[in-house]
Amino acid sequence: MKQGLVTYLAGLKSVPLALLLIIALGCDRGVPSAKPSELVQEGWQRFRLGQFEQASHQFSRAIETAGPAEESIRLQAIYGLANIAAFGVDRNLERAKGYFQRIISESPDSDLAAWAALGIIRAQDVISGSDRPADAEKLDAGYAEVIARYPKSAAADDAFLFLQALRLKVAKPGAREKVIEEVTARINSGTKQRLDALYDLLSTANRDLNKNISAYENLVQAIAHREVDPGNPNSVDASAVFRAGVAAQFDAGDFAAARKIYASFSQKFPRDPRGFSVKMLMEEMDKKEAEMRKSLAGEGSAK
Amino acid sequence: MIGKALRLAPAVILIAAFSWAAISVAVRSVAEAPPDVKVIRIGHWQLEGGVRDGFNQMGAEFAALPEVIKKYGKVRIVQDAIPEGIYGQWISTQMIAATAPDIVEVGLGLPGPIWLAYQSRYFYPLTDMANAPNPFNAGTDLAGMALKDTMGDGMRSGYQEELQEYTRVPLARFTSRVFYNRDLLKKLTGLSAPPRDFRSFTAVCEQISKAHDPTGQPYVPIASSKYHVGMWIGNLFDPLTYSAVFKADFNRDGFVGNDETFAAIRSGALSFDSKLVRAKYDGLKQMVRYFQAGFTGLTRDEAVFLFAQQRAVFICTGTWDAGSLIQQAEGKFTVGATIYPQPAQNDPEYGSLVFGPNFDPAGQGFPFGITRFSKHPGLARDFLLYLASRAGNARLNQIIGWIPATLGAPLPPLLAGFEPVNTGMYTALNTDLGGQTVVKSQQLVSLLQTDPSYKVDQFLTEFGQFYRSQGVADWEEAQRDWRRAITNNERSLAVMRGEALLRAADKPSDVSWIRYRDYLSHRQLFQDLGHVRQVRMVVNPDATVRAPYAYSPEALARIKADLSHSSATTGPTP
Repeated sequence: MKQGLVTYLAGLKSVPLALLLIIALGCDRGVPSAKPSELVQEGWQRFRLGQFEQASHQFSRAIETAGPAEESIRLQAIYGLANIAAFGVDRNLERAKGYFQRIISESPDSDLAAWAALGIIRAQDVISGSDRPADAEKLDAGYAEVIARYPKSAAADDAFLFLQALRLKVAKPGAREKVIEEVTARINSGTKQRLDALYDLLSTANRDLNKNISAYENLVQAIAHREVDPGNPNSVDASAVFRAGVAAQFDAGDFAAARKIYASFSQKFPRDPRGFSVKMLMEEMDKKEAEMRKSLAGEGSAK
Repeated sequence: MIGKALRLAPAVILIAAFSWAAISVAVRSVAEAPPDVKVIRIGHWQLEGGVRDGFNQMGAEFAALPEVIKKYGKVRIVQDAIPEGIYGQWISTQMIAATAPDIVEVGLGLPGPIWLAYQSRYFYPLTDMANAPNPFNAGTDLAGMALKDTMGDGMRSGYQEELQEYTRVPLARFTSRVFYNRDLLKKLTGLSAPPRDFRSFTAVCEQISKAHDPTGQPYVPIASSKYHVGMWIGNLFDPLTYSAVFKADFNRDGFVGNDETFAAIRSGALSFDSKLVRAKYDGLKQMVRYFQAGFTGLTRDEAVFLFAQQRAVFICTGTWDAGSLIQQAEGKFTVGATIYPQPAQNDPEYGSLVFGPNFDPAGQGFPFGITRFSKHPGLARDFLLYLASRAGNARLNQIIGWIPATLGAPLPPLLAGFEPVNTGMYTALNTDLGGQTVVKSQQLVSLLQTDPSYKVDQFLTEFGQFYRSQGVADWEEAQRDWRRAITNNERSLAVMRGEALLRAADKPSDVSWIRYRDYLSHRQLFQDLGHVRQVRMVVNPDATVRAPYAYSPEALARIKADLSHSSATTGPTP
């Protein structure tokens, strides 16, 4: 009896070990049977949560387990590793480049190759850590190369936007005029891609050049072409609508348009604090009109 | 023999205790979840009596609904009400052990990233639920409307930006109000309700401060503490800075950020001597005269104690505390509620800064999500929908004494007549640039509150000098933070792109690509461009640049032309 109890109590010492084993087994349950696509999905989820090591583990396992029919998944897993190297905690540009280049060399004409080419330039741009990167010309050329090499790809559309934004940030003499020229040409080419962003770029460039009426007109176009994420309550940009109203009022003097925009703001965003500013700005327009009417009447009677 | 028994005693006690615990748990489990009953567990940290009563009653009513009985049979709602202090540890244990309740209140006790990770791994996304009508709103004007559109804030507070999904349903709204002891106010001033304007309110406070209780001690007009003073500042004095919008909102988004405030001060568009800056601190200085001595060193509970002891007439606090205040006053005095006493438009000092009521919204809170451990996720969804329906939400909040989250549900009786104000003056001055300026501001504001000889002029001069000279270092640190945010955005973009490639590589119209493009344009590209513009303004402040809300020459010409044209076509106005 005593012997049995002692053995029992001694056995309790192994309880923590047994618990650890159970936890370890529990953590791993179900994983071995995951498909490569599920591993990539899990990798991105871990990446989102900033768990880069676990993300890297998932992507690596996807690469190991992907069969010949899952070539695209394998490349996507490499793409995942490239992004961890580029934007994860360690931010190793050389390693990132290696992964991105691997995708480009293994599948040079794929969409993923275009994204990989863009990834190399984005990593350089973001790692530069500056609004006015020292190697802006190199970045400019890099974006231009992605556009030239993969002209029909979505990555090229992104590259075009990043390129023009870079030019506006660095703001060398003549850069804003060049942005206006290139963006206008793209819009005039009949593209349907990213029109909201293109008009936004034009608006920014024109505003920087103090071409306020053009900036306002571009802003209105940007809002009109805005692509709305139906699932995101913050997708409809209240700030953009507010800015358009202010620009219509103070830059263009188009009170009819301003009133319309402000009314739409109040209707779309009834609980936005700026509803009060909209009310104030509407009153300011009434005041301004009354003041100018009076002044015109004075001019008329003087004549 | 006795020695042997003594040696075995610890083991016997241990075994007995374990057996008792095991039997208790088993018996309780059977009592809570009889075999023929579907049980929904709801976990939260609200220990106020009203909340538990609310869930009990709502659970019973829900279980008795014919459509629920028809669909699910016998249903029981069981609560796990966990103290705030251990909620984080409790929820972590439940999640890791896969024993979490079906419905869980989200947000307390753990850092944001941990809650984010839990929501990603252990909670159901509720986006489809948010976009579908709430069947429990049938027969009302909300019938057929998406759940999110039936909530006060469009359910924005239930949306998790990083996950791009709705994950929570908010069930109540909160704001803060000034509560008062009706009986004491009447006794000391003859008034049955306090005045609503600042000047008259401070006059009443002055009157109260001169009155003494039977023991000869003076009454305190306002019970306050370090917890409460921020509410007075935020709700009463910050809105006096509203007109800074028209001077300092350089990016024209309708708000004034800390960088815009810094740019405005550096360019001279605003100064620490301007009326609106002075008014904020001057008003505070006037108000703190009516707080009890040493309030900055006191906690929230100490202020509530003073109020409950009938030593003070007023106290401000969140509507979440209203039930507790009433409970503490029960049998002793009647609690009333009122709005913060805003200066009137004809106020001799602050009237020119008042353009309307103060913005006084009620933020959505009391948010619940559904865990993946639920054995009856459909039933859990239905119960949550029931609680979020107009009738269900009104009833739940009526029991608790909080403000309902669903549109059209009436306010609880104590707060009736003091509806949240969704359109009004809001703060437009943010001098919190970073570590150094925040610490200095806290030190000097504390001095302003506690030292009667420290004047507002001294504060404005001292803080103004510090802000202009040391603010640059804080601002530069903020720029480094900005660059870090750009990298974080790039990470988010990488995930969104990676998931879109996996899910719909060849379908650019898929919602995953729309999300990606939306994020790229509006969170990365144009926020960065706007920021660069602001940086230029701070680095090269130029007072000659047209104010953000001033008419351009082209605009003035257009307005004139339009008016001339309209008077030419309509003729002179009689």
